[in-house]
Amino acid sequence: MKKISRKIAFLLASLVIALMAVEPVSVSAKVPYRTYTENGYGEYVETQTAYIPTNTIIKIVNSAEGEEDLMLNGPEDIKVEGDKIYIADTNNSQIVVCDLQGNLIDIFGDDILSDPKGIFVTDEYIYVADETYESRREGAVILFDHDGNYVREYGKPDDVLYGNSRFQPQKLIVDSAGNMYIVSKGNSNGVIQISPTDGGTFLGYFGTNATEVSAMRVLLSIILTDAQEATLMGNRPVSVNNISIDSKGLIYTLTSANVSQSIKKLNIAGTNLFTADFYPTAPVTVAVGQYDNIYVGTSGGFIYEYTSEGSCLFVFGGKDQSEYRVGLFNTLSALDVDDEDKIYVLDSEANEIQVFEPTEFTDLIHSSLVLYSRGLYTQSKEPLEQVIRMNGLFDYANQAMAQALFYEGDYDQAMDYYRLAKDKEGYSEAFWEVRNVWLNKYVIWLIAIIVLLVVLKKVSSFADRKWGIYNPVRKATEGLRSKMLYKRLAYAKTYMRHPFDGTYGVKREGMKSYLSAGILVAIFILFNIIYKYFCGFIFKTQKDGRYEIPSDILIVLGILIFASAVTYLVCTINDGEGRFKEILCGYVYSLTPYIIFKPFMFVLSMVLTNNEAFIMEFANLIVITWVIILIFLSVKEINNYSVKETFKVIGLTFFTAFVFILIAFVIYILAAQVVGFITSIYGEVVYRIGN
Amino acid sequence: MVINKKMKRLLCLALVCLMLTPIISFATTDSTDANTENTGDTTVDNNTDVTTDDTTAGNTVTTTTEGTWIDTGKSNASEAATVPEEDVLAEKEFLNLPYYERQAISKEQAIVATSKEDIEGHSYVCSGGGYELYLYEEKMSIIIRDEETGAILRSTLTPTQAVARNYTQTMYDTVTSGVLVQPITYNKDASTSRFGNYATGILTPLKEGYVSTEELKEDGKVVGFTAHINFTEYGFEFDIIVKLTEEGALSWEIPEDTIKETNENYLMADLYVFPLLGYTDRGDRDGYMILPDGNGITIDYDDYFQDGEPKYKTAYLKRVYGSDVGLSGISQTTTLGDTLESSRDFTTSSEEITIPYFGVVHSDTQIAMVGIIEEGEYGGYIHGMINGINRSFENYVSTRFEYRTLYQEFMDNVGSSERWKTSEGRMIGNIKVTYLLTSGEDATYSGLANKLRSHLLNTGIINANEDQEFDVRLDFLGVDKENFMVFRRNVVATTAEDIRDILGQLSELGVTNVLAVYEGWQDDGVYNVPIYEFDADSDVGGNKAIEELISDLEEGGTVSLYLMQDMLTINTSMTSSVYTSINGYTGKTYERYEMYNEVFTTFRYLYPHKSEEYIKDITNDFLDSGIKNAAFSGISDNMFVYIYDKKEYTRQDTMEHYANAIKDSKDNGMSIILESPYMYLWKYTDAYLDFTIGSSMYVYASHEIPFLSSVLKGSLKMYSEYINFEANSTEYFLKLVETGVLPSFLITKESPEVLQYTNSNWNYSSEYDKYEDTIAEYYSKLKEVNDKVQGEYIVNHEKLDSDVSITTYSNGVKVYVNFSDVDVTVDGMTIEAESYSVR
Repeated sequence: MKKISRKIAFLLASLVIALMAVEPVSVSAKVPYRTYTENGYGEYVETQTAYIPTNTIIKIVNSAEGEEDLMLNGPEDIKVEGDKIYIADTNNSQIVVCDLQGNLIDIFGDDILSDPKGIFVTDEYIYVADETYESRREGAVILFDHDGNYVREYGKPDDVLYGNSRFQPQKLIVDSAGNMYIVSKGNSNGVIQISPTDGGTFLGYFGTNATEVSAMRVLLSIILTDAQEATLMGNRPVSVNNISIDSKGLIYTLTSANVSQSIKKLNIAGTNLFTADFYPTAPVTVAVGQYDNIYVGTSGGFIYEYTSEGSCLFVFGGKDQSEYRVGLFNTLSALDVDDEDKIYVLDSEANEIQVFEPTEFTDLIHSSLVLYSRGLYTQSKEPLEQVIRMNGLFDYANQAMAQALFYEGDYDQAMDYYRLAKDKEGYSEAFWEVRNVWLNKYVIWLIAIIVLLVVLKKVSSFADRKWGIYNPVRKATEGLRSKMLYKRLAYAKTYMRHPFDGTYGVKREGMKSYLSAGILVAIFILFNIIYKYFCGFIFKTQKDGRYEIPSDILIVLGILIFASAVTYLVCTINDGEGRFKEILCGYVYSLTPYIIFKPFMFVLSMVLTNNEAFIMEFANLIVITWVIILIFLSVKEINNYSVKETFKVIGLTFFTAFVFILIAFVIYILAAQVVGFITSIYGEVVYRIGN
Repeated sequence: MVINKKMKRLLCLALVCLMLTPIISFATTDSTDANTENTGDTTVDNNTDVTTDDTTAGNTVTTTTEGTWIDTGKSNASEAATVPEEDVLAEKEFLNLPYYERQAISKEQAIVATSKEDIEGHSYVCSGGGYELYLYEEKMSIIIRDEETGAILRSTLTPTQAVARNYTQTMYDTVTSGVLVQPITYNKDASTSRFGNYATGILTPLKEGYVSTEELKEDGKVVGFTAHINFTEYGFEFDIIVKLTEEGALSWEIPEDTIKETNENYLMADLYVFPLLGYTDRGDRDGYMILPDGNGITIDYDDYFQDGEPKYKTAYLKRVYGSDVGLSGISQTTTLGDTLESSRDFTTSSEEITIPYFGVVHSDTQIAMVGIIEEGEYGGYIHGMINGINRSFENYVSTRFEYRTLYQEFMDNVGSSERWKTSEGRMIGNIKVTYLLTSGEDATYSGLANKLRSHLLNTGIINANEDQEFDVRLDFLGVDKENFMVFRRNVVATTAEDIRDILGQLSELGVTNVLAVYEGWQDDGVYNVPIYEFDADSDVGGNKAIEELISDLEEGGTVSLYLMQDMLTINTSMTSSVYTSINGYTGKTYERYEMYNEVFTTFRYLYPHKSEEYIKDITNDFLDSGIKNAAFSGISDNMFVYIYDKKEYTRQDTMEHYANAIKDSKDNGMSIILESPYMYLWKYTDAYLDFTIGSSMYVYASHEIPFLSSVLKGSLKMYSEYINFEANSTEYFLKLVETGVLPSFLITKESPEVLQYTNSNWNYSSEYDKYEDTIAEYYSKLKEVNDKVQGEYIVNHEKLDSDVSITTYSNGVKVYVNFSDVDVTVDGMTIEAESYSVR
């Protein structure tokens, strides 16, 4: 066991090292970080540098004579309003105001503040969230006017509904009505909402995260009595850790704990309007830009920029591995954006503010965002074209371009761009339009052809009955058809339609052979592969350019043989009559519906759009149900079981399979240990001899 | 579904706990294991104060030896106790003055009016080139004095100064001795004789009475001295020959054959000679140091010590010619992260030192020097130290030489136990460092660049290349592979015929002078490496098409096509690497695993003698086919130690193999161009590809300066990195105008979309149709500028506060570049925002 744990420890260690191992780059704008964007599959792909660090404010310059410059100390929050930066200089217990270049304008609150962690600026006041204002355990929100004078404070709400949780404000926002939304340390009830009336009225909790039921808890609740369960720690939702508000009054909350949605965009009713393909890990700060684009900073030092719809435009930055390079962070604590899209990022460990400026590329993206959000699709094409020229694989731009073209009615081109952006929904809509045009044009011909085919069939079968026109064909193929192999293959159709007769055939009429089963499985695998890799884009689940054919084959073969073997073993000890060969053939024949249906589905996948996707789903459902029924009947009939017995045997089969897998796993681990042991000895021996 | 997810999470948690157990048990109980050699070592695990370039050294104990500036908490030396207390008090008083008051005094103290008389205990040795050399033998400390102005450069602090600064023993030793070594103690147990440890005491200074010097004479004139150094405690002896030439160049060298290591318990590891030469104190002086990061950076001296708080936490310490894969314990890999963030390379590596220079400029006393390592550079480091780091007061930049180092050797295949080993032989031969001195108006980075250029030309490190005509570099990407079903199929981005068409169309647009480079021309595409024969992929047209294209272009005369190949990397999926891939000193085969590559993921490095062999093979093949141009990558910007046939080879061996190979090609009449070549290859290459215009963006860098481009312009043609991937193309264009670096584009005929599922999917923008106009525009604009200064040197460069740079060439032409977003008037001429002007 020790060896194993060492192995794992090594893996972990190499993980740590791997994170530091950096391969020399052949391409890069020369900033210390790489910039990634999201492609249509929701994966990271590298792109042009989006933001360049232009300035690092290490000290706040005090130009007053005889005064020393100011070094920040563990600053936790930053807000940029107009041409001023407001900093919660936490460990210095003060609020610092400076201009965008870092020249000091004002310092205040140093005489009364204790642990200012959050700050918010309105036209009237500067709101400061002080975690330990009253005492070590009770904080308050303090208001200052713009000259730095104390105005008033809001302490712990004196309301029954508030409960007795501590009031330790860490971050806050204020809406246009002056209502405060306060994030209090560890408060799992949600964001505390306080209205300024009557010296602070508690309005309730907002943006509460949902509780998630863990499997452990489910297990425990089964085992434990109610009384015992009550003694367990409460199942509380995770608390919100940062908050922001945009110009429309929509509120953004961050949750850094491991939840499925770490960013939420909430309307006043508390409904989340934001979904993304991927969420940042451990987000700590959020700000909203002028295009409603969302900037999120994480404790790992990464900055994410999302569009308001949740497309991830850029990810960049990172931890400074004691290299001390501009643009990387020790501890990213807060960020904000100014009117020129510059990002101001606060580092509470390095005690500095890094200023990032958008590049020409990002400016283009932003200008297309603006035009696009105003519905000026045609105008948005121009910046998009430039973006695509600079990066043809920037899927957000491809998608936006496709949409612009779509609204212009250029469906063909839109389809191409959607395809490039891997956007199935957009592609489906564009395809629908294209198909519609095609259908309108050729519908007459299409109907004519169908009618013709039907007539042809009728006529030919009539002719066959009358004059036997197909007889020569029958004669020619007679030899083949009389072959047992052919019969066995063709039997699949019978088995599918008449499973009871079918199993009889398998058991009594020799409709079983490894060769025929092999051929059928081969066809199954072939159809499976063709469908998986070459079906219509809308229904394709496999990513382009990625092939896993050996595993496709092995999985099918493995499952089939394993399932047959296990079933056989279980049946043998349960008075089943089936033999291995029979069970295997039964299973293989049971797959026939798939083989019959898949080619049709393949063709349909080429011509259907999302509107008719239900057809595909329905077909899938039919195939699966059919296959399951056939499998069930195979087990039942081949072994001559009653229905009840069959259920029992199938249950046992699953259990046995589970045990087998478990044993295989254990053996694998043991074998790995033995191998490790032997190689260690070998290495040691070689080493000793070598010396 | 929810439960399912939760179960997974639970399992993961259990697994993590399982993983943590051994780590905790390692940390608590396992110290008796194989890593006992390393217990009690204070030096190696305490080097957070330096910028290490061995980024792979993420282990808790790194192999970097730097430990100079650690406060070991020891009291000052007995020697220090002899310093008169009143002197110390006076010095302390001086240190406590506000810096603007100190500035004047410090400047005064840095000028010595009297000539050839003792300065601070140093006696006169000789003079040359307008400078005088002084020596204080006991401490091996020197002073350089400008004969005209009296400005001096010191190399040590006096004991009084060191005591007044409350330095610990280590710091005291460091700042008062001119020579420092780092010994390695090693375990004498029979079977583990090479397992070592850094000796305690960290850096060892010279002890009094263990230096003897004698005059060095040339033609009867004293030109310097030879010092016999003896570190008796460790049994190290060697000679340092210090020489001041008539050209005003001070040099020191340590011939390899004078080094003796007589104590079997100790081996020599690191060596510093005159580390503090030209140092300044805090922000007391006006000036800056120059570091070889990218195209060059400066660190201003003033204003770095704030209210007793250090402004910066790390110094610059980088290995010359890049970090060494042969010394890193574990193979590099980009995998194993559990979140998307941690599993990708999110940071870029910092710039490597391609030429080991460093500079010191004292602007107030107008004296400056640029140092260059001429021999032994492959084993050297450049160390730029900024005051404030670990409570030090000094700013200085120096060399460090690593005769030996410690590295981890893993004892089993999972790497759970390892030992610290050191190499038996020394990793460096002769060492020579030269400081080129300059003063007066030349005491700027431009003056130093001029000095360095003429020195490089005189010593033959670069050749004055006659062809300095402007051209644009176009890299064409031929073939790459993508997965298809169970095979890999070719993806053709540009064929030979496409190149012909593109060049034809460009010449119609006036783009006539082109340096064309063809990558991925070989059979099976760009990642089929290594290659040793001329075998073009049939999809690009085969050998015949390429031969025809080259000969046709040759007739035209203005376009030359180079075939590019990586001569270092082995793609293990395409070629067997069992007998050709390097093992590091650690005994492990170096391997790079790139999980997110689409097709090929595992790469190794060729033995240098194999690279040499393959280069010779392919050269012969090329010549047989009438091809005279070749571009090489991989070998040009990598260097490592390795084991072959149970013998240890050094970076010097690697360097010699590569140099031999390239020289051989060159001698056979080939024209060779190299990707970011290291200095030792400059004399063979006809172009410097992928020249870095920027820097690594260190926080402490005050300015980026076009230092290296100023040195090379007019002698070696520099081509930029690909413009395609620049997000700020306007600024980048202006930088090209400013530095005189020539533009480069990556071009494919097809849209890069086709490469989406190949390893080349990093290329997201290269389609010719989209770049045609840009190339033509860059070409005409840059050609206009470059034609006016063709073959000329850059003699001066300055950047005004208004964000306008002025580059002056040797023919008097001035190039003004306005980087700001407002119009600026300079020298009576208005330069539009984000624009330039030449006159």
